Amino acid sequence: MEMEDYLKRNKAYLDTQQGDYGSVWNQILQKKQRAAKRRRLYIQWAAASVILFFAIGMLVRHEWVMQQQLTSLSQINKELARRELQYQKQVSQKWEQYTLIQSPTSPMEALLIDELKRLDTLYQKGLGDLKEAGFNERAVVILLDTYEKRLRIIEQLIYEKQKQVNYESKTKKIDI
Amino acid sequence: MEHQITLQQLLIEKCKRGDTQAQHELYKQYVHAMYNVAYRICGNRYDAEDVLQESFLKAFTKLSSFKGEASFGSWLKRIVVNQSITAMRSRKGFLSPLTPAIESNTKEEADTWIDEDFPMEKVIQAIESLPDGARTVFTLKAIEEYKFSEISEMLGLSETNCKVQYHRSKKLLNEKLKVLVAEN
Repeated sequence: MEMEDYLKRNKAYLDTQQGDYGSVWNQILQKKQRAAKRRRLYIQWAAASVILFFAIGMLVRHEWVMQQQLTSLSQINKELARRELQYQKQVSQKWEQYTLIQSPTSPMEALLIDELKRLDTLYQKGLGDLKEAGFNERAVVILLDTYEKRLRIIEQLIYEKQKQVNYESKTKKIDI
Repeated sequence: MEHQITLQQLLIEKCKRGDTQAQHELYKQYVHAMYNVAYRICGNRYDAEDVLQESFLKAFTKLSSFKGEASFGSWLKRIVVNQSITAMRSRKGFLSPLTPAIESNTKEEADTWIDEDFPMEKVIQAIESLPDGARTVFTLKAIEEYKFSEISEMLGLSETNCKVQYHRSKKLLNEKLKVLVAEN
């Protein structure tokens, strides 16, 4: 008979070889574990690279924003914006209260107004430093402190004005 | 019952999800047959075991691409055959393509007649003793029953070249069987 027909007829007897299947399976398992470990490492590296890339990107953007456009603390973050706005409201309210009191300016008031001007200069200088050196928490605290000082000085101004008013009314009474 | 899900399909689905126990079950089902396919092409147990290892790893990795158009066994066998051919290619002189002149001069038919009672072990012994290239082509055609078009695609040779190599391997096998009969 033809060789092909002979082989077809005896197909059942062809698979006579026996390998070490247990050891082959163990090697397959080992290779699978190694591949899984490599995949995990690769994913960890990829994730770390993405995080690093974004962190650097954020930092560069932050620095750039700080250096290019900084004109007030509110541009640094929302919390600072909120605190600065609160201070600005308080300062303008006190200042309005001060300007409503009618009386001649005393030498003490002139000194305190000079002090307010110095605080404005200090604030502008602090912003300039932040622009040059980037975000610095200590500098921000100093800048916020200028608002606190402004409030105290304006309160002092109101007190001086009030004192002046009281003095004038006393003098008027004596004249009468 | 076209939509009936067989136990094997369930097993394959589990393997696709990376279930190691299911993969071991599938391995146990097919390892013996696949080892013998690899052994017939490679001709030794060491290469056959390496091929087996790589083939199962590849199969588990690419299982998602198995759509069930052919049976899982024939899909896996194709991987084993391709892997075996890759292993054989690294050997010197494996299937050097024939020049057109040789192709046209090798048209003779090699009719291999064999007595139906001839012992199977002797035939297997004769096939194993064939040179690498001849054994591969003979195994793929006569035992694994691939078409010449498929063999030509697997080996990267022309269909005519494959046919010529096959007839040569049959002729060579004939001679080896004659020697074995004479020895008996």
